Amino acid sequence: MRMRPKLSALPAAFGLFALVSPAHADRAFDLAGVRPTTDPYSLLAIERAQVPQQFEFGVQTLFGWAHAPFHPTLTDPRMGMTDQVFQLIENQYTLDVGFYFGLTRFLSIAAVLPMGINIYDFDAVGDTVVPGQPTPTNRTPPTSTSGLYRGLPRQTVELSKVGLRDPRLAVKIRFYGGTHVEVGMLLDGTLPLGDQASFLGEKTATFQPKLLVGFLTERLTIGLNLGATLRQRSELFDAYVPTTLRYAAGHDLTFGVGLAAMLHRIVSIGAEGLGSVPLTSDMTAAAVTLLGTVYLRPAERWRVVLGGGAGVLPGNPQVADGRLHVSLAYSLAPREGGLR
Amino acid sequence: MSPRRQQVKRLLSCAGWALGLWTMGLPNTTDAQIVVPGKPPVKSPHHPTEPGFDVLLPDPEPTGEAGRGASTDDAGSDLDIADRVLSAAKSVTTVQEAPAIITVVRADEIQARGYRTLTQVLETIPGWHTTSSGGTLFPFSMVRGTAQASLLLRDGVSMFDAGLNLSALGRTIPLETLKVVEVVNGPGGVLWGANSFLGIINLVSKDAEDINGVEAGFGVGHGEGTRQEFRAWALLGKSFRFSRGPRLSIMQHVSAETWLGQQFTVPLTVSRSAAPSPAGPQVWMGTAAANPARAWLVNLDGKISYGPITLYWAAPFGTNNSPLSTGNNLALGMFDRTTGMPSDAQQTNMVGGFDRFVTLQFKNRFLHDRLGLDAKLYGIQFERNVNFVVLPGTALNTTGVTLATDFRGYRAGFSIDGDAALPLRNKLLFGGDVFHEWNPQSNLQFAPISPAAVPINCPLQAGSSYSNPMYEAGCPVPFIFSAERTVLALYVSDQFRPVSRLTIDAGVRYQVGFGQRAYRGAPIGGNGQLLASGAIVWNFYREMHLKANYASGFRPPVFNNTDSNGAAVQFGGNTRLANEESQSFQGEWNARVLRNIGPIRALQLRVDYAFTQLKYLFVISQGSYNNRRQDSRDLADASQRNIHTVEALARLYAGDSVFTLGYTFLHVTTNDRGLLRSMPQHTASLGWVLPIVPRWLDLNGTLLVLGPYDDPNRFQSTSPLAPVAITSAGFADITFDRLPPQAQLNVGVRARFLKNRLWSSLNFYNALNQRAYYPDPFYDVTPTLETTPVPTPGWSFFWQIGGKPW
Repeated sequence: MRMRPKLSALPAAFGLFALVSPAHADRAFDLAGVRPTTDPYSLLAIERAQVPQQFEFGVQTLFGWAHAPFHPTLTDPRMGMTDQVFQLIENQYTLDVGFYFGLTRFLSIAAVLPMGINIYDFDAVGDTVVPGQPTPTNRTPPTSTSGLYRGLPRQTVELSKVGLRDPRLAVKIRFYGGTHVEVGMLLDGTLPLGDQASFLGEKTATFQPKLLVGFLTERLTIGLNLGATLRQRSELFDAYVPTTLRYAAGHDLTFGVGLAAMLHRIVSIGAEGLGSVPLTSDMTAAAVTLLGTVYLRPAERWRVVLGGGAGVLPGNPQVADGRLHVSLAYSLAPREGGLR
Repeated sequence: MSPRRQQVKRLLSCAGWALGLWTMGLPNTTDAQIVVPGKPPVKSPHHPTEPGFDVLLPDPEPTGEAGRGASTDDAGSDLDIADRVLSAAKSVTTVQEAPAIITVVRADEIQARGYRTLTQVLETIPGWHTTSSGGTLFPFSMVRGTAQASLLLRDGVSMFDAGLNLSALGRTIPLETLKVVEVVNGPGGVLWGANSFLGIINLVSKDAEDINGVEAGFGVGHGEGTRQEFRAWALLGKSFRFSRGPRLSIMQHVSAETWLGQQFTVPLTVSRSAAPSPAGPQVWMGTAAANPARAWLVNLDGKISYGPITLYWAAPFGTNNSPLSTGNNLALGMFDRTTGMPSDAQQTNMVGGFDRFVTLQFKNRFLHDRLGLDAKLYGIQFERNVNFVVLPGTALNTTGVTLATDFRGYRAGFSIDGDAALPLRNKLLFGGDVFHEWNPQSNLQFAPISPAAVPINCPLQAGSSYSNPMYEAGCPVPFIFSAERTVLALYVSDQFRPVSRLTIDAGVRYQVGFGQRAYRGAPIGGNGQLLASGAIVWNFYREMHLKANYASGFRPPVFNNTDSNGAAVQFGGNTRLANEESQSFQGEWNARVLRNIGPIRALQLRVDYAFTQLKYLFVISQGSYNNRRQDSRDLADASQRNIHTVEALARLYAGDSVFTLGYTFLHVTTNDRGLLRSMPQHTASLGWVLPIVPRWLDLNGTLLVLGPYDDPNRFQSTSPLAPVAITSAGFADITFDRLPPQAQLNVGVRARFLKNRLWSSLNFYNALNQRAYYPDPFYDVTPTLETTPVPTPGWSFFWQIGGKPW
C-alpha cells in the first residue's frame, strides 16, 4: 500500500518554526538578492527543470555587485535622533562558487559556497569602543559603544567586511522533460555557517523548495519558478530606540520568471524577474528585481552570462538600487549541444 | 525492469555504498550515455553501458587491449592518483593501506595550486589549521587544535627544536625543493619518538633525477599582506654514472627573497605588564599602523649521493621581520614629539626560525631485498634569535623598548631504521635513536631604553652602590639557562598479513632521557617512556579499506619550560615537569571509486574519526609551568584534553582537472577550562586545478572556510585621560570576542609553454581581502600575553616565471 504524506503535519511544523522568540538587533540576514542557479542549464537566476546528464560534473561561479542592497531607516543621533534612511551597506560584492553532479537522467545534486564583501556606512555601523570624557567626579569613565554595537555584549572585533555566506545544498528532480514542456522541483537549503553578525548569513538553516516549469521552442526558453523560503525570523531593532523594529525577515513566498531567446548558437539574450512576498514579516514589503541578461557559449563546455538590473519596488530596504552579475560555468562532460 | 526503475535502484545502491553497505551483483544495463565534447560517445571498457560493469561500484583495473590503450593515454596522469607514501610510515606503502591516517601532497600539486609556504599546504589538509604566536612573529600549524604538537621531519630526520619547540614551517622551507609532503594525523610515537605528539610532517626532498638539469624561477609580488616582494631561485640536479662504481648524484638549491610585512593598523599599546609580572592594566592610545623593516632570506640546501650514501645539508639565514610582536605590539620606533606618535621608521621585529643541518645517510637493501637498512648521522643547529619590539615609543616612554637574544639550540645524533621480510607474511620494522640535545645559556638585551628604567632587576657594574647603581648596558639577564639531555630509543613494529586483504600492525617503543633534563614522571623508572601502537587495515572490497588504529606519543618539556628565567620576561621554568602524553583511537574508511567513467579518472574518498586524549599538558599556573590542571594544586590531578575529530577528504581526478574537498570537525574539551572555544569547530577547504586550455593554461584556487570561534581578550573599559583617546583594560576586563567565519580565497592562473620547459603563474592570495583573526591556541581565559586578537594577512599577489633551460 502506498503511504500518503501527512500534509497536516506541515503547518504544525511551520508554526513551531515561527514560535521561536525574536532576538533583538539581529544582523542574521543574507542580503544577497540574486543567487546563482544550481547548474548552467538554467538561466542566470531562474531555475529550469533540466538537469545535467548522468555523471556530469561541473563548476559554476557567479560574481555580483549590488548598490545599496540594504538601506533601512534608522535613528540618526547626529540629526537630533530623527529617522533617516541609511545605506547601511553601500555596496555589496558577492562570489558564489558552485559544483553540480548528475546522479541520473532526472536527478542532480549541487553545492554552492557563497561569499560576500560588504562596504558599510560606518556612520550607521558605529564603533565598538568610544572613549568617555573624564569629569571632576569620575576621572576614569567607562567606554561606551555606538551604532549597531549598542546594547550588545562587549567586543573588540568589528563587523566583517568579508565573509562566508550560508552554503547551499540542493537536489533537483525533473519529473517530466518533453520537447516543449518540462516540469521539475528544486529542494534547496542553506546551512547557517555564514557570518550572522555581519549581514552575511541567516540565523538557522533554511529550506527553499521550488516548483520549476519550463516552456521550450527551438529558439525560446521560458522558465517559471514558484516556491518558498522557510527560515527562522530575524529582526533588526533600532540601536537608539530599542523598541522600534526596523527590519525583519522570516518565511517568504518566492517567484520568478525568465525568458531567453537564442540569437545565434553562441549568443542568447533574456530577461528575468524574481521576487519574494513576506509571509510572516510585518515590516517588509514585497521585493522584485528585474534583470536583463546576455548568454554566451564560446565552447560546448563553457558558458558566460552577463546580467544587470535593479529592484523595482522601493518599499523593501533589501532591494538594491542597481546590480551587475557575471556568471562563468564549466562542465567536464556537458549534454549534447553544450550548456544551453 | 524499466530504465527509470533501474535508475532508482542505482541511486539507492549509491546511498548504500556510501554508507559502506555495498551491494553485490546489481544489474548493469543502463541507457545513460555520457557525451564528451569533441569525442563521439563510443563505448569504452569503463563506460557505464558496458555489460558486466556496475558504475556505482569501483571498477577493476583495465584489462586487454582496450585497457592497455586507455592506460597508455593516462600513464602519466594516473601517477597523481597513486598516493604512494615514501617514508612517513618508514616503509613504502599507499595512503589507503598505511596503518595510519596519511595525506600526501606531491610537488606537481604544490606548483599547480600556487602554494608559497608549507603552512598554506597544511591548512588544506583536514585536521590542520594555521595560527601565529607572539603577534605575527611566528606563524605555525596546529594539528587537531593543539599547538606545537607536530613533528617536522626533513628527509626522515627530526627537526624538533628542544629549546622552544618552534617548528620552522614558513618561508625557510623552499617548496620547489620538495618532492612530496607526507602528513600523518595522530600520534606517531612508536616510529618517530619524541614530539610526534599529534602529527607528523615529513618533507621528502627532490632527487637529482627529479630535476636532471637546471630549473630556475623569478617572481615579484605586492599587496596588503606582503609588500614589495621579490624572489629568485635555482635548482641544479644531475646524476653521473662512471664506468665503474655507483652513481653520483648532486642536487643543489639556492633561493633568495625579500619582502615587507603588512602595515597592520591595531590599537597602540602604551603600557602593559606582561608575563611573568602580576597581570596589571594594559593601556592603549588610539590606533597606529606597524612599519616592520624589510625582511630577507637566503636558503642554501642540497644533497649529494654516491651509491647508498647521501649527504644532505641546509643553511638558511636572514631576517624575518614581521609587523606585530607579543600582545600585538606594533613594530614602530621611538616617540616623535612633532606627531605625538611613535616614529614610523622601519623597525626590526623578528624571531628567527632557521634549521641548519647536515645529515649523512646510508641506505641500502640486502639479502635479495629482504632486509633494508637506513642509518643517519646528523647535526642540527636551531637558530631562534629574537629581536622584537616590546613597546613602541610613546609620550610615557619615549625610547620604547626592544628585546633581543641570540638563542640557539643544537642536536647531534645517530638513528637506524630497518625493515625485514620474515616468514609467515610478517614484515618487521625496527630501529633506534641516540642523540644529545643542548642549548647554551642565552642572555637578553634591552634597547634603547636605559637599564634603570627596565622594570626588572638588571645586573650592576663593579663599583655600584645602593645610592649610585650603575647598570650593565642593555640589562643582560639570562633568557634561558643552559640545559642538555641525552636520549636513547629502541622500537620494533611488526606487520602481519594473515590473508592478502588484511594487515595487522603492532609496535612498541622504549625511549629514555638521561642527563641534566632527563625525562621525569615517565612510566618506567621515571625517565623511560614506553609507547605502543596497533592497527588493523582491511581491504574489504576492491579499492575500499577500513582501518582501526591506536597510536600513542609524548612530548618532553623543552628547555624553555624547564630552564627559562622566571625573574626576567618569561614564565618560570620548572625542572620537575613530566612528559606530556597523547593517545588516539582512530578509525578510517577510504575508497577509490568511479574509476575511468567518462571524463572522471577516479574519486578518492577518506573519512576518519579520532578520539584523542592528551594528558599532563603544560599549563601556566602561579607564573610558571606545570602539568596540573590550572585550578588544582594536586600533582596527581593532571591537566587533560579530550579531542573528537572527524576528518574527511575527497579528491576528484577528471582529465587534467583536480578538485579536492576537505572537511574537519573539531571538538576539544579541557578538564580545567571546559570547551576550547578558540578553535573553529567546522573547517572546509576546496581546491581546484581546472584546465582552461588543456596542457597550456590552468585556473587554480583554494577556498578555505573556517567556522566562527571565540577568543578571550581584554576589553578597553575605561578612559583615564582626555582629550587624548586613551583607554585601558584591567585584569578583569575580559571579553570573549566572537571571531566571525572566514572565507580565505586564493586564485591563480598558470601558463605552460615549450612542453613545460617554460611556465609562468599569477596568484592572488586572500583575494577577497578577508580580515580575519587567528585561532588562539593558548586559550588563556584571563589573557596576559595575547590580549587582543591576532590578525591574518590581507590580500597579495605574486607573479613568477620559471623554467628548465637545461
